[in-house]
Amino acid sequence: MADFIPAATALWLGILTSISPCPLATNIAAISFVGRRLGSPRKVLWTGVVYTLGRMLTYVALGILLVASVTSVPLVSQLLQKYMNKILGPILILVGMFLLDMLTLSFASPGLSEKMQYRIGTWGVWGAGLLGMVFALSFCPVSAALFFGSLLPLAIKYESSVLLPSLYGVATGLPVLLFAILVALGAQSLGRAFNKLTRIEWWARRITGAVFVVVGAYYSLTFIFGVF
Amino acid sequence: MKLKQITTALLLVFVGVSVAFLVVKETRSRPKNVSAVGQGTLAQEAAAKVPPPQNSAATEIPQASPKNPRVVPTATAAPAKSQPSVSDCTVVAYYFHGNFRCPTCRKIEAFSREAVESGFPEDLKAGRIEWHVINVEEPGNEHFIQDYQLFSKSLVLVAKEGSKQTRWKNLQEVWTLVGDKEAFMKYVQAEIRAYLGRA
Repeated sequence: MADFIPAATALWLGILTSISPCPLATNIAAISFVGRRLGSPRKVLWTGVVYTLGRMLTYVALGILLVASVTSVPLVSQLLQKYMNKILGPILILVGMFLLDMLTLSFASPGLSEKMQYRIGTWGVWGAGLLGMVFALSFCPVSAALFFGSLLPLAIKYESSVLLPSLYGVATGLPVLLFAILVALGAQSLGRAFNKLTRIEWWARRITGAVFVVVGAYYSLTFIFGVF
Repeated sequence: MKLKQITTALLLVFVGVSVAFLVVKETRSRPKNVSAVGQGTLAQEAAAKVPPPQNSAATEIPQASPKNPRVVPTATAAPAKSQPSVSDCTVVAYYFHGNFRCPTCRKIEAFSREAVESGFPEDLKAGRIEWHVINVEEPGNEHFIQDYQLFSKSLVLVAKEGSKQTRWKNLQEVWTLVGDKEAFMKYVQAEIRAYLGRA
C-alpha cells in the first residue's frame, strides 16, 4: 500500500499532463504520426508503444539526472521551456515536409536508395521513439509544473528516480497509446469495408504531414515570433 | 506540381526566417542577460549574508517596479506613498511568469489575484499584503528563478518581519486545483492566512 500511493500519484500526474490543453498540439501531431500507417495495424500499435517508450525514457533520464542534482532543477526546467518549444517549430515543419514528399533524400546509388527506402519504412517505428523524446522535452508551463514541481519531489522523497518517472512517462503517452490500440483494432475492418487501404494510407500520410506543418507553424509563431 | 513547388519554397523560407529570427533574438538579448545575471548574483550575494532566505526580494522590488510595467502592485495594495515600500508589509504574494503566457497560466494569475483581493481587502488597504506580477525573463528579474526555485509560472508567498524576509513558499498545488476555482481560492487564502499567522 505504501508503494501504491506514490505510484498511483505518478500515474495521475502523467494523466493530468496528457489531458491538459497545452501539450494538445504535440499530442495531435503524435496521434497523426502513429495512425498514418493504417494498412498495418501491428505497425500502428508498435509505433504507439515506441512513442510512449521514448517519452518514458526521457523522463527517466531527467529523473536520474535531476534527483542526483536537485539544485539544478529550476534552471533545467526554465531552459527546456525557453528553448525546446522554439526549436520544435522548424523541426516539425521539416518533418512534415518530408512526410508530404516536399523534401526528399537523394542518393547517388540506386541500390542504396532502395535500401534507404526500406530503412525509412522501419524508421517510422523508431522515429516515433525519437518523436516521443523530443515531445517529452518540450515542456509547457503545465507539464513543467507537474513534472518538476510535483513528480520530481515525489521521486526524491521515495528515492525512486526510475520507477516513478517511468510511470509518469507512460501515463503522459496514454492518449497516443490508446489511439494506437483503437486503430490497430479497428483498422482491419475499416480497411476491409473500404477495400482501399493503400489509398487511405496515402491520404493518412498527407494528413500527417499537413498536421506537422500546421503544428510546427503554430509553434514557430507562438514561441519564436510571439504572435499568439 | 507548381503549387507544390511554391508551397515548398514558402515553407523553407518560413523555416529559414524562423531560425534566423531566433538566432538574432537570442544573440541580441545575450549582452543584457549577462548584466542581468550580474545584478541577480549581487542580490543573491547580498541575500546570502543575512540568513535565512533573506530580503533580496525586498530590496529588488522597488528597483524592479519602475522599469517593469508588469510588476503590478494591486490598486489598493500599494497606497500612494512616495516610495512604494515592500518592507512594511507582512506578506508578499508574487505571481511569476515568462514571456510566453498560456491560458492556464493566465487563469492561475487571475484566480490568485482574486483570492488575494476578495479574501483580504483590509490587509491590502493597510499594506499588510502586497500583490506583484513579475516577468522572470525580463533583465534583472532572472535571480528570482534561483531565489524561489521557480520551475514554471508560480505563485509564491513571502513572509517578512520588517524589511527582513523570514520564509517563503511556492504554492505548488495551484496547478492541480486550477480546474476547481472554489478549491483554488480556498487553498490560496488558507496559505495566506497561515502566513499572516491567522491559521
